[in-house]
Amino acid sequence: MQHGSRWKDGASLTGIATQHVGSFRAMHFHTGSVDPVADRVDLLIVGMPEISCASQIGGITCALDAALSGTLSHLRAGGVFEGRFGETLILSSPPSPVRSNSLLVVGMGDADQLDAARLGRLAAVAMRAAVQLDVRSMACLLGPISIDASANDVAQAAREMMIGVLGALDKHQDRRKVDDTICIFDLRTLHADIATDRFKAVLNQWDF
Amino acid sequence: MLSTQADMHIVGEADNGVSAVEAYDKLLPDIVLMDLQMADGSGLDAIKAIRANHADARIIVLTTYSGDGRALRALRSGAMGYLLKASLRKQLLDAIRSVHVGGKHLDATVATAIALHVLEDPLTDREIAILSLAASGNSNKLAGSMLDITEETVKGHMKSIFSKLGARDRTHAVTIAIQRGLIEV
Repeated sequence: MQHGSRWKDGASLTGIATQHVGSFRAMHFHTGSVDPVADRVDLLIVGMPEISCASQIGGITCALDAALSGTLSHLRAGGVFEGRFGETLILSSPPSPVRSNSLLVVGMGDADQLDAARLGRLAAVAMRAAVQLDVRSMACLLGPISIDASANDVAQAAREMMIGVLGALDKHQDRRKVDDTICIFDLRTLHADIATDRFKAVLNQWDF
Repeated sequence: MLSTQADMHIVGEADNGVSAVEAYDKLLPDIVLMDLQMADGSGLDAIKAIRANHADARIIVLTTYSGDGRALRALRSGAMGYLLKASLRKQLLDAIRSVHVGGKHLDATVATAIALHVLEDPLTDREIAILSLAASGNSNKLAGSMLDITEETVKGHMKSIFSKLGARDRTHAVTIAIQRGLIEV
């Protein structure tokens, strides 16, 4: 496993306090808490449920949407981006106060139907889209692990997400691109340690 | 710029909408970069024509128009991306690659403009026709004559236009409509 020492502390690149999880090729994974408005990364990844499912926009995306004066929810209501499962929308150069260079919005479909397996597929979709872009830092705020989720649910979700991410890297990343990239998973759960451990376990077992 | 990218190859170019549609049929490119203002056919018409025959066509609009009107029409016609010509090189390359794998890609300035108006009651085709005639200097009476409707009916449409656009008068309405790309002049 590659592990450049300068990536041990994610703060060296993004200013976000993070814990290093492990690396896969040139992708260095961290866990931490990311402010979707104030923190700055090259690519901010957020989830958006489908409007027809009457799902509320989640807390993180809601905060981001408010900072963007409702742009995300209006685009969804206007049918420009419907939030269908696996649908993606990239907004380049979002306006202030959002500090990240670009946003990747991933359609979550019916958020009430999200389980670990579907979260894994969403993570794969997000990573597939992300590796097409010229970015060196990304924060994944898909918001799949709710703050009150059980330890078992958190562990399953974390496992499936990391499998989805690594599978997407295996399948879609151009191996000629060897630039170091940092990827921070935002964890807002009482069981963040469990999620981090499960991320590490999947990384350690992944066939390189 | 594009030809310097290892994963991109320019297979064809067209300088008007009709040629663009013909070229697409012949070359079936993975991605189309479409200008909205071309010689003998608008980019919007070309997008519609291409998508009518190729529902999976992946088209990115590259334009100087930042108004919500044209952007929304382009996206609803099937464009997957909408970028301004002032965009950075990196943004264009990112957009080409992300649209190629099936995503949508918008300049955030354009997305903001769309979001601001997308839920408003849109102008009808008749209202757009009347406003376009007003923009050309035609009075309500003349516009009515040209559209074969009464002057009173034109006035009624104008009142609705003012309300929808939040305009004070016809000059203000025309100005807003041009800025937002709701009418062509």
